[in-house]
Amino acid sequence: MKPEEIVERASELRWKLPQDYHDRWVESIYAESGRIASRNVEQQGKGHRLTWERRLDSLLTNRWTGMPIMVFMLATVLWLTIEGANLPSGWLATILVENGHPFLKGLADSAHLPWWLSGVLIDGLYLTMAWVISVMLPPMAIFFPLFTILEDFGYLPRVAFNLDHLFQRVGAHGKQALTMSMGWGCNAAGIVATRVIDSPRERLIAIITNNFALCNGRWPTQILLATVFLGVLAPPAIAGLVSAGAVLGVALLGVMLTFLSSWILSRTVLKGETSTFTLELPPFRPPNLLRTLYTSLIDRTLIVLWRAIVFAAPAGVVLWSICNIQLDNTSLAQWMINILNGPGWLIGLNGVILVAYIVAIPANEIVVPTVLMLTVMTTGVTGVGEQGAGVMFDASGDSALALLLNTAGWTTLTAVCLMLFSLCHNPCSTTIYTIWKETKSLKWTLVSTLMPVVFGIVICGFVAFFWRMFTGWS
Amino acid sequence: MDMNEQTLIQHTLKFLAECEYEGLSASAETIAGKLTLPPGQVDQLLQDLREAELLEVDCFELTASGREYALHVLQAHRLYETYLARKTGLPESVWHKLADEREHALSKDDVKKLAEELGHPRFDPHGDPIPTSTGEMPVKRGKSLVEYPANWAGRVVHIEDEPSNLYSRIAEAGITTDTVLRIERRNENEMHIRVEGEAFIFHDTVAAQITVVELEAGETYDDSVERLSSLRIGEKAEIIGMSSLCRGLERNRLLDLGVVPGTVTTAELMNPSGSPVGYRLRGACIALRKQQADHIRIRKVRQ
Repeated sequence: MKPEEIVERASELRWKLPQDYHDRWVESIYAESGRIASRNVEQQGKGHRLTWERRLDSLLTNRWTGMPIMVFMLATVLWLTIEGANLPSGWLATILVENGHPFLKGLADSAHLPWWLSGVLIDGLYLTMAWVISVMLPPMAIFFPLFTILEDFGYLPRVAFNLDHLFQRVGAHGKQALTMSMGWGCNAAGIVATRVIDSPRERLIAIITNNFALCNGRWPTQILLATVFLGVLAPPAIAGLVSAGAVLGVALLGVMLTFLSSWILSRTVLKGETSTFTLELPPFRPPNLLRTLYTSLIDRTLIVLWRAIVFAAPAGVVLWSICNIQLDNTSLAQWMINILNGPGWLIGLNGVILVAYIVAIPANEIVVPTVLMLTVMTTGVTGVGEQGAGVMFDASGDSALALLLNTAGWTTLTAVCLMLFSLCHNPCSTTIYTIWKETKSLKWTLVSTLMPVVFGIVICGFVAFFWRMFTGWS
Repeated sequence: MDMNEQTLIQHTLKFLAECEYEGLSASAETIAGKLTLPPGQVDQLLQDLREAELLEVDCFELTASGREYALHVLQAHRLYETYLARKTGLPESVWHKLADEREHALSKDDVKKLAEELGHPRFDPHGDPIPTSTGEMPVKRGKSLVEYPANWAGRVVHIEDEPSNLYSRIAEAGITTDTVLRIERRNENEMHIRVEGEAFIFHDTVAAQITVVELEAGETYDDSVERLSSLRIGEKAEIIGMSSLCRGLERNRLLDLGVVPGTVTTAELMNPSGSPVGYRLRGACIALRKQQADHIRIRKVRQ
């Protein structure tokens, strides 16, 4: 045969092969390598599940017991985090803020630093960092190890297995339940955790919607506002219950928005991304406590904390500067507040809150202290937070806080809208940076950043409009 | 339809090439019907084609250069559909429309690159042959399913994807190219079909969309082949293979996990809603959703 004849014969025969020839060929290569492996690899230990594992599995994934166990586990983790973090948070605040700040100020005075330099460095940069560390470190150092223990034990994949049909309906992956709960600790960590989702489309959905999981920087804001503004509306006996219910309501609204936005995303911008599903249910094993502690502290807590500090430090400088740089005898901050008062009113907020959200992009933790500081600065109230312009402080008591905010014109509507806006606004810059690192895509980073703000503006706008319609325009 | 001159010419050429392949005769009316154009515009179009020497002057046959051009468009269309099927998550219902839009923008070089990237596929996801860059295509095979009697078994080679409402009935049943099926019964206007342990009833208009060929010598319809989704908790099965509906990334993932011919699997854990189900595969427990398990062919192992 001549070469041309061979080529011609080959291309003729090519069409005669079955259509799925290539697929079958690949399958047989895999099958053959599987056979070679099982002939030559000796396996030690059990090849099948033990009875107790089977019993535990059916208990954890059962129709009647699966859900209650899950809710109980989650509530326990959150309770341990909130209760357990109070004490160390207090210590850190005492050391870093109450004592560290005056001490450094004293040092600066004795070194005869110019007022603006000590202002920028100590009131701005140092204080913001101290704030972020004392609010953020303790809950993360408790939440993440607890989470990792559940993961190591093999419980979390069962949660994904239980909830998958709910997530499937909105075009997402069951493992998004895990990245969402991780987001309740920290959104940046939640976004890193989406690596466990191996399907490109579902992973992007989990990344973009993670911000609707209320992170630990926002829980305190919610709790504070619910206590000061909503709890007082109820009789004292049930005030605690009402405020707890309000916070839980916001968190659940976040879950609902996660489902809604997942559904929208999977049917619009993300429908072209490839999608697949697999979920491994690993055998149960006792968690290795030391390794758990090490990995969750180093890999999750410290990395996230470091990023937060890196981003928060410049924010402190900016905040101090806009409060102290004057333009026509009015500080830059005051200018911004005046401009933003109008748009803020439309969505039930005010200029102070919007300025705080712009400055506090780096860390949600500093939103409330910033709001308080700016409020004192603009209202001229005395008796609270008199350290000076650009110096953040925490309220000494709920009643003092209520008085301050009421003087500044806050109403129940302001509190409700702020709670909603705290749930639905752009992710903090640490999270935005993490999204960029994980997706390497400007488009998805922008979508993740802007989508929650749009949700927030629309929701707050609606609430403010209907609230005023029913209670009168004020 | 709003189309520019070039797009119209390409659609006409593609249609004429398809008619030629199917052995159908074309006319000004069928062209007008296919492109939804008024007759006057079709006459103008045909005149343009003849002036450009793409169409023979006295009949509806393509000239050599017309055929080459048409096969290029056809190749672009079918390659692009294959690309959409394998590399994106877009639903099957939009492939045809997207390929119809995209085929005009692909140059010869683009098409060549696309073919290389996809590993020179021979058939598109519906079983239509993709012309090679030299314009080669195999002879059309097979007959419509409705031409066969009860108890006949054969292999699917092509499924017509238009109109989409009929096509979706077939796709929902998990029937695809290379599916082996058997006609169980034929009534007046409908037929009962058995596929991988499942039974479906198709109206003749649906069945007419399916093109089938005889089984190869020595091959018979195997009643013991079922779908993984039919496996109940505790039951054991040997995997036979995956349907070609499981494609791209999904297929690779499942192969990696050990969903290969010969692997023995057991259904272990079921979500109360019925999906996903955990299967023991090579020592690991892997949960798969029902739609995935539908695409895996098995043979149950008696214990």
